[in-house]
Amino acid sequence: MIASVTVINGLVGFQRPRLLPVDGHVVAHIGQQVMPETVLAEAIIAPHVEVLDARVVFSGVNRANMKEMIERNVGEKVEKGDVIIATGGKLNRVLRATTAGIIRSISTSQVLLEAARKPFQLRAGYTGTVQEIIPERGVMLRMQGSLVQGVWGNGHLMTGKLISATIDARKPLQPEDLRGECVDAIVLAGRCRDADTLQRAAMLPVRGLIVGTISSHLIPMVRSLKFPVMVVNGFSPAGMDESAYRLLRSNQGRRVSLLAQAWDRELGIRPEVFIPLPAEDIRLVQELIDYREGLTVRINTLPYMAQVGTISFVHPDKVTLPNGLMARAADVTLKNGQSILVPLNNLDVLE
Amino acid sequence: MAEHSTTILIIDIGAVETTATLLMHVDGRYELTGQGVTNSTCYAPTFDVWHGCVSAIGKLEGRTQRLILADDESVIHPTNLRGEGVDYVVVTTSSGPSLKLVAAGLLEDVSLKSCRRLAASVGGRLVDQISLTKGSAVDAHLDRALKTRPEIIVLAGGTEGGASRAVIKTAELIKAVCHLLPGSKRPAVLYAGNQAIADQIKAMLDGQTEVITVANIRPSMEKESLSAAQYALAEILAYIRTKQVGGLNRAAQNSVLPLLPTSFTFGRTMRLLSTYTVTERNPVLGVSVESNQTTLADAFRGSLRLDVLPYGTGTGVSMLLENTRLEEIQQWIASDLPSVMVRDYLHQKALYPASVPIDQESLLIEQAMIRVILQLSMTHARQLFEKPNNGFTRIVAAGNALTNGPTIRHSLLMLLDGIQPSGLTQFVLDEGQLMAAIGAAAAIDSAVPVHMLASSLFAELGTVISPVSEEKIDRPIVHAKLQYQDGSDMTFEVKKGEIKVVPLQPRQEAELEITALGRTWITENPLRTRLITSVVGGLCGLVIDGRGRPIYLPSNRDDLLFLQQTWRQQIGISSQVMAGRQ
Repeated sequence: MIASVTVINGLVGFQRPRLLPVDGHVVAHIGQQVMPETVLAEAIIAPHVEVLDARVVFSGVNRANMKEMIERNVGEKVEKGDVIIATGGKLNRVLRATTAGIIRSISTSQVLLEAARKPFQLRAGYTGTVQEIIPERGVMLRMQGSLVQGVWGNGHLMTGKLISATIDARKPLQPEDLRGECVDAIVLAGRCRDADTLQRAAMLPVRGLIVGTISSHLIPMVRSLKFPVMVVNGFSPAGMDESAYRLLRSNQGRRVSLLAQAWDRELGIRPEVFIPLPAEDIRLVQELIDYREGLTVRINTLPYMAQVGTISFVHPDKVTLPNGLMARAADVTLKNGQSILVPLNNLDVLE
Repeated sequence: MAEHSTTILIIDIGAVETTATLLMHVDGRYELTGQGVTNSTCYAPTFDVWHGCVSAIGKLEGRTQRLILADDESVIHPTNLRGEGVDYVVVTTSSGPSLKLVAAGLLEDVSLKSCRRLAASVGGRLVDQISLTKGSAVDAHLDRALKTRPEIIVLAGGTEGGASRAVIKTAELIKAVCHLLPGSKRPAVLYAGNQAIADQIKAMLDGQTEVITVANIRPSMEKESLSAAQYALAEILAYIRTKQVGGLNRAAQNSVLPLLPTSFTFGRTMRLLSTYTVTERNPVLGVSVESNQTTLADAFRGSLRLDVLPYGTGTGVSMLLENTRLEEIQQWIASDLPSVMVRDYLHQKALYPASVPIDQESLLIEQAMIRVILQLSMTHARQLFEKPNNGFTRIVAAGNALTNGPTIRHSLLMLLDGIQPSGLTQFVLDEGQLMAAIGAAAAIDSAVPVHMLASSLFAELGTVISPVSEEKIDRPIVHAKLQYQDGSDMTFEVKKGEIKVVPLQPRQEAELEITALGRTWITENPLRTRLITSVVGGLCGLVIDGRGRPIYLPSNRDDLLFLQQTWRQQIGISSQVMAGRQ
């Protein structure tokens, strides 16, 4: 059975698609070295179309003459007030653009005018190289460095210096932990359980927040924050798994890219923290792995949430769990030596 | 050479699991030869559902000792002289994002309503509803179309010989939408309106986008006819999926029939089942709770009402949480778990949709969630189809979460709490998830459902009688006498709020005489206060659910917990964790 893989790795090479939410225009080129702020592509996210009634202007006009009266072409840019149709003659009737924009269609009954809008700019988010152009949608980037993948993010991206606000992966972040050194930094903590802490983080302000777990009642508030928040393990009081916490703490003081994007399984996009590192011949992330003995795994659900262990045995058939359900499962030996039975679907292989 | 037996391979590609089912015609009947189940591979790292199909077929090969895949990993069909391969392959899928759909019609209560019902049959997400007769702004519809990028526009309106100008005006708006969108992003148009202008509509939109015309879904104000449009929409949906889901096109190429949504073939089986019970007064209901969707297939004498909802036990949890309050779920948890733990668990489940509850607490949360999914779905279906009651002759339940609980009694209690049927209902569990596969294979040979539905592959839970009662708690609401075939009998009373289980073996018949007491009715029909009927037993016996409809839940937490525990005990769920299904 193909394993679910989460990357928590100090030095690894990987590729990532960076895609517009809708079709647009790609401005990057293959081989381009990009920084997190580099614009890769642009698109109009929420277009607005005005329907201009042409029948008023064309009223009484012979159909054969209409074509000559159209002064602008489909696809042409117009400014507000520009004449699009004019009948000419003594009783000259005109149809003017009601807004600046592009003419999308002209017929004898209506003109469709797409209003000019400021385009959304897709930024790289990573320091890396453009490997491939995905027409109208974006690019495929190639990176190398430290990578920690998360499970949930509030949609924002930011780069900044990483500061650890707590010394324990399980300890909740308190408002008083957010000291002066956290100002304008990306803050690392084990877990977050109350709104006061988030308010304090917003007031400082911090540039971003990475936590192991967060209480799910904070989701609406986190979504409204202007800075990125990434959750490494999920929703519970468990805190961050030791593997991720240790790696992130070891990178304190470094400049990191925090991409707190939503986990989109269809596109293969996850929230992640990336720390670019110069190196050669770095092995690529291996994502196609079958569950097998000896693999390091992380448990993603109660009652062993965020615990890391090693697979000691993969049961070939379904087994009965303590609650009576049957599932494909493995015996996992935790760091403390305890052996537990965990369904394979609840395990992430740590790569 | 051995006599050749027809074989049909059905591959179902779900959001979480992919199943390969092999049916074989043996001794004049279709039988289940074997199944192979594996995790679906629509997401990272493979993004190729055919990878999962190959794995599932590989497991099936191992179980049946029959070679099905060629070296290039395509299915060998038809069966070759060495007996390798299968004669037919059919593929169904429920993977992929929900379909973005626009309903366009004339009157809100006529064609638009039918459009909504049609959209519900594929679980489409309505991103806009156009009714120009309401005077809605054209540019607002254009903006929404540009923003949401619908994949299908269903255009209906005008009864046969009825309105046409307003339909043509709506088609002009659709043409404008197509003008504004790039060629590859234009929505397909399904025209199911006034047939007098079908050619004109097609001529208007042909060249802009693909236009499929089907019979009018509203031939007259009084009549609704969805079946042709449902099939066309299901085919379009599946076609769109082949462009969105990696490997699905290859799966479709292996199929001898057009790819179809799993919910559609599930509905087909229920429709066929309803034709076998034409003497019944109530419909049959199929309910399938999956990771990403829930399907309700309500069929009566060959007429199907199909409602596919975005609530599920995995990726569908997010939609569930958006459409219900946490308290609604928590009130069905038979344990005093803190709300913060319940909320966290559900959000975590949405992140890991395939995860399995490990401990008892997690299981209780999941089962409470399923009850609420069923309740929300039933409410939606009742409103959509304007159903007056919840009376069903037979309820067939599918989907792993619903059918593969620790015991079948867990499943029955979830179904009773979630659906809350009234009257006499037989409950059946589709533990092998065969219903959709049967519906898919029915298009190859109509004998498949006849043989398979009569087989012993389904878990017959038994008959449940659910009276409707306005009596107070603990007051007697029915008096009953059960006459067994061996001549013995049993007399009993059921009190309001009680679940009574009476022994009656699977397929064993008995005569039941039941009399309603006080303000109680055997069904939702207030004239039905006494009933003499044959009942069939099942794995859970004969059950009388005396809790009334709707089931009353006290607001006091202690009382609620006591009730939940009592009902579990009464239906036969031990307070101890049970090892293995029974």
